[in-house]
Amino acid sequence: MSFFAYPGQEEDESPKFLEQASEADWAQILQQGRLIHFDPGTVLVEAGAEDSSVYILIQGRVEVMGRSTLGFEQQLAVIEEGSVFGEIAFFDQLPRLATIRGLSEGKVLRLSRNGLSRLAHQHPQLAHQILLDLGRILALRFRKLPGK
Amino acid sequence: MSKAAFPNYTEIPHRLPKGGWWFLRVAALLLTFFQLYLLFFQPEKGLVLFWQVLIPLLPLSFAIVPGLWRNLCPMATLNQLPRELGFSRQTPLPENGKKLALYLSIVLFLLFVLARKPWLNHDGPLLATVLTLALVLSLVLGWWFQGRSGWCGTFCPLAPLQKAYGYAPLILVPNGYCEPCLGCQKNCYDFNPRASLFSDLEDPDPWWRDKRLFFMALLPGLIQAFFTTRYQPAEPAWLYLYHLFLPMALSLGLFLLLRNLLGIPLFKLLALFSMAALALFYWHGTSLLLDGLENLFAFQAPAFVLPGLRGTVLLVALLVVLRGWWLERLYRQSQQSQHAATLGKGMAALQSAVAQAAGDGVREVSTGTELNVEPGKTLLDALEAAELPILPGCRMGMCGSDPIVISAGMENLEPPGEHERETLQRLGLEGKARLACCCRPTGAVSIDLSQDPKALQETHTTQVPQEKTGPHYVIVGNGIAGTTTAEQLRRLDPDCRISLITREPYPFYNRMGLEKLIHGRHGLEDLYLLPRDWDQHQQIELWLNTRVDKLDAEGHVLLLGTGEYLRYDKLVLATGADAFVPENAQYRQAGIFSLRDADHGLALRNWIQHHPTRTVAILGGGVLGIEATQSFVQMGLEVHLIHTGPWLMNHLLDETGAALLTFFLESQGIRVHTGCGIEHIPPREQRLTLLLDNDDYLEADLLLLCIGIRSRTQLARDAGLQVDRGVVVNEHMQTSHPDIYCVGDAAQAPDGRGGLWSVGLEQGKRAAEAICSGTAPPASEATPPVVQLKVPDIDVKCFGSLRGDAQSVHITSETLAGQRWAHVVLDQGRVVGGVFINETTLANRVITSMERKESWDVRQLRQLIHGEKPETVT
Repeated sequence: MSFFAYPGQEEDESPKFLEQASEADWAQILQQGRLIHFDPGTVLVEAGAEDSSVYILIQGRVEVMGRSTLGFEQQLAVIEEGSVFGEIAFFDQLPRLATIRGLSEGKVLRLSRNGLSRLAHQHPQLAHQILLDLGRILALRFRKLPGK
Repeated sequence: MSKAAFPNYTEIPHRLPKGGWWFLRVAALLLTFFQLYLLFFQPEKGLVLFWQVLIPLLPLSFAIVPGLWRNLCPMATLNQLPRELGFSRQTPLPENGKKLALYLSIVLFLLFVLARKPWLNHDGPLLATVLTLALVLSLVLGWWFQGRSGWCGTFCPLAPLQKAYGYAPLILVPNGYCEPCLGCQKNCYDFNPRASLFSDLEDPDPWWRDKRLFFMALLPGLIQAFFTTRYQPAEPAWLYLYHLFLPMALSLGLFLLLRNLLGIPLFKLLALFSMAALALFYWHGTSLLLDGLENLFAFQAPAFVLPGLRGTVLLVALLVVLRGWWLERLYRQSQQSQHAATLGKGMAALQSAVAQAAGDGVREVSTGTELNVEPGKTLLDALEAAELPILPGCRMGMCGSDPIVISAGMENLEPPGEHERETLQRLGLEGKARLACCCRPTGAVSIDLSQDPKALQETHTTQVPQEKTGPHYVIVGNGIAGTTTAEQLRRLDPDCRISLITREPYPFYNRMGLEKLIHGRHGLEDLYLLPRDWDQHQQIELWLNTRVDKLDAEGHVLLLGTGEYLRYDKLVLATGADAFVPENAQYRQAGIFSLRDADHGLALRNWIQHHPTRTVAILGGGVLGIEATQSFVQMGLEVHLIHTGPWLMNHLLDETGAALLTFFLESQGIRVHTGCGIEHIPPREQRLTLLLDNDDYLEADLLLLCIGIRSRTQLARDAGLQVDRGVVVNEHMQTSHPDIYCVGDAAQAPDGRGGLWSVGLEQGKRAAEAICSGTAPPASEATPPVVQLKVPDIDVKCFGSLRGDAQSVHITSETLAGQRWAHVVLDQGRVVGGVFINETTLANRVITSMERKESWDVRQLRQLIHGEKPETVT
C-alpha cells in the first residue's frame, strides 16, 4: 500500500502494462486503435453501455463516476495520465459499470477486441504480450482482494 | 488529490521542535512518577487524579488529537528510550507475533476494565503496581523489539482504543520517534494515522479487519456496562461478569443486525459505533471528571458546565464521524486509482508514437477521434480501423455507400475524380459530401459522422409529372446498369418519357453489399443508395415488383406479368445475371443458397435464425465467395471455403498473392480447401454432408454457392434476339434489333468485359448516349477493370492478366515482409496486369499510371516495387 511506503522509497506499485513496448510497437497499436481527444465533461465510457474496449490514458485526467447507495452520482476515482482502464469489460464483455468522463483536456487510446484481433494478424507477438499483461493485471488485482 | 488527505508522518508539519517534545515527554514522565508516588503514598488523591481526571480526558484527546498522546505517553517514552539511546536489540517482531499482539492488546484492555471495579478503582498501591508493570514491560519490549513494534502499535492495551476513536483525527501531530521508519508494523498508525484503520479493514488478511471490527462493535456495550454495573463483593463473580458481558454481546449483536439486515456499509457502521462509544463515555463520565476536578482543586462549577461539556463532546463525536465518512470516500478514490495499471516507464514510448502519428490532424469531430490515415490510404480505411460507423461498399467511389460530411479542411482533399463526382451527383450530394473511400487527406481535415449525409440529399417536393412529349424509353432492370441508363437518358433528353421496370420489390440498392443482409441488423436500409424521391425528381416511372413476361420486338411492346402492355420507342435490357446453380438436383436441397439478390441475403439470415447453424460451407473461392466468408466469421460461425481452382481467385491472383490471402483467412479461423470440388451431396439429414472429390467429406449446416453468374437472357432469346453467353451487343450496346439495347451483366460486349459494377456503370452511360445521339463516344482503348477485394484488414487489388507472353516482364516484391506482395506484368512498357496485397500506396501509383496509359521503364518500375530510391542520373 502506498500509504505506508517510506518517503523516497515509494515504489510505483501499480501493475505495469506494456512497460517494455517500443515506440514502433505503440505505432502498430495506434494503427489498430482509436485515438480520442476529450474535453472536460466528455463522456468516454457510459455506464450500462456495451463497449468491450480497453483504454489507455495518454494525456489528461478522467474521473470515474458511480452512484451512491441512495442513487446520487459520485466520483469514485480519478484516473491519471498513463493509466489503463476498462480492462474488465474488455474480457467479460458485460455492460460498463461506471461512467468515465474527462476532467481536463486530454487524449485516450481505445483498443477494442476487434482491434486486438487485427493486431494479432499482423503482430502476433505484440497482441500476445497485450493479452498476457492484461491477464496479469487482473490476476494481481484478484490476489489483492480483501478476504481472500 | 485524495492522497493529500492521508499524509504520512513525514508529510505532517512539525509545530514543535524536537527538543520541545522531549521536554514535554520528560515532564509527562515526571508527572507519571508523581502519580505513582501519590497512588502508593496518598492513594485517596492519587486515585482521584488518575480515574477522575487523567483517564476521562484520554478518549477526547484520542478523538481530537491522538498524536499528542502518541508522542507524550510515558509508556511510549520508556519504550523508545533504548532505541534513542542506541542500545535496543531491534529484533523484528515476527508476523504471527503481530497478529497475536492485536489479540492480546484487546484482551489486556478488557481485563484492565474488568479489574477496575473489584480492585483497581480503590486500591492505589495495586493500581500503581499494575502501572509500573506496564511501564517496565514497555521498556523491556522496547529494548527487545524493533521500532514501535514492541509496545505502542502492538501490545499496548490503549492502542485499540486509540484507533477506535482516532481513526479520523481532527488534528494531526507527526510521530516524533521513527526516523527512519523501519517498517516494523502493518498498517502503522504512527506512520499514517488517517489511513491506518481503512487499511486494516481492507487488508487482504481478514484477521486485521475482524479483530478491529470485533473491538469497535463491542465498545459501546462495554462502556454502557461499565458505568451501569455495580460491583458487589457479596455477589458471585459470574453475576458481575454477566452484567458486564451482556451489554457487550448486545452491542456486537446490534452491530451484526444493522450490518446484515439494513446493509449499512461496514465503515459507516463502525464510525457510528465509535461515536456511540464516545458519547456514552462522556454522558456518564463528564460528571465524574467534573467531580474529580472540583475535588482536587476545591471549587464548585456552575450548573451549566455539565450539560455544556456533554454537548461539546457530542459535537466532537459528530464531527469525527462526518470527517471519517468523508475520509472514507477519499480513501476509496485513492484505492481505485491505485488499482489502475499504468504504463510506467513505457509512457515515453507511447507519447512519442502518438506525436509521430498525430501528423495530419485528420479528425472525426463527433467522437473526437484523431484518425491516423497512413500514406496512400483513404479516410474509409482509417474510419474502419477506428471502428467508427461507416458502410463500405465498392471502395472505388462508384456505389456511394459511404458518403461523409466534411466540416473543415475540404481544401486538403483532392477534388473528386470522375467516378466519385458522378456518384455524388447521383446521390444528390455534389458539393455537400465526399465518399470516404476516395478521400486521401493531404492536411488537416475534420469530418462529422453525426451529420447524416442522407439528410442533405436534395429533397424535392413531389413534382407533378409534366406531360412528356418525347420518345418513350423503357428499361428492364434497376441495378447499376439500368439505373445509370435511366439517369443518363434523363440528363441527355429532358423531354423523354422513361419507365424503369424491376421484378424486385426494392428500389435501387447496393448489390455489392449483399453480405450485410446476412450479418447486419438493418435489413435493406443500409443498402439503399438513392434519395427516396429519386424517381420523382428524375421524372422516371418506376415499376417495382413487376415481371416482364414477353417482348414483341417488332411490335415494340412489352407484355407485363400483370397483363398490362407497355409500348416503347427504345428498350434497354438490364436484366442482370443469376447466380449459377448446377442443374443437378442435389443442389436443390434445404440449406443451399446462392447470393445474388437482396431476397437471397434476407432468406439466408432468416434461415440461420430458424435452423441451428454452426458450420457454413462456401463453394467458390472467387471474389464473391471470399467476401461472403466475412459475414459468417462476424456471426461467429465455422466457415469452410471450397475452391476447385489450384488457389483462391486463381483467375486474378498469382499463387504467392493467393497464399497470403489464404494465410489471412485461415488466421480468421476459416478453413480453406483448394483444388477440390463437391462430388456429391446426399439427401440432407440433420446436416448437409458434402462429399468432396478428393475423397474427403465435410458436414455443414448451410452451403452457399458462389460459383459464377449466368446472364439472364430468356426474354431476349424468346424475342428472337441474338444470344450467346449473354445478349450479343455491339460497341453501342445495341442488340441485333436496332431499337433494343442491352447493358450490364446481361450483355455480352465486344470487349468481353462484364460482371463488374464499374462495367455496368460505363455501359449504361454508353447506351444512353447511343440512344439519344445515335452514336456512342469513340470507344476508348479499354483498360482492364480493377478488382478490389472487399474484405476488411487485408487490401487485395488486382487487374488484367498475369499470364503475359514471351516478351512480358514480371516484376515481383523481393520478400513477403509485413504480409505484403506486389506482382506487376509489363508488356512493351505498359502495365497489363498486377496483384497487390497490402501494398496500398504502390497499387494506387501503378493503377493510376495504368489508367493514364503511361509507359514504364523496367528498371524504374523495379525500383518502385522494391522500394529503392531512384538512382540519380550521373
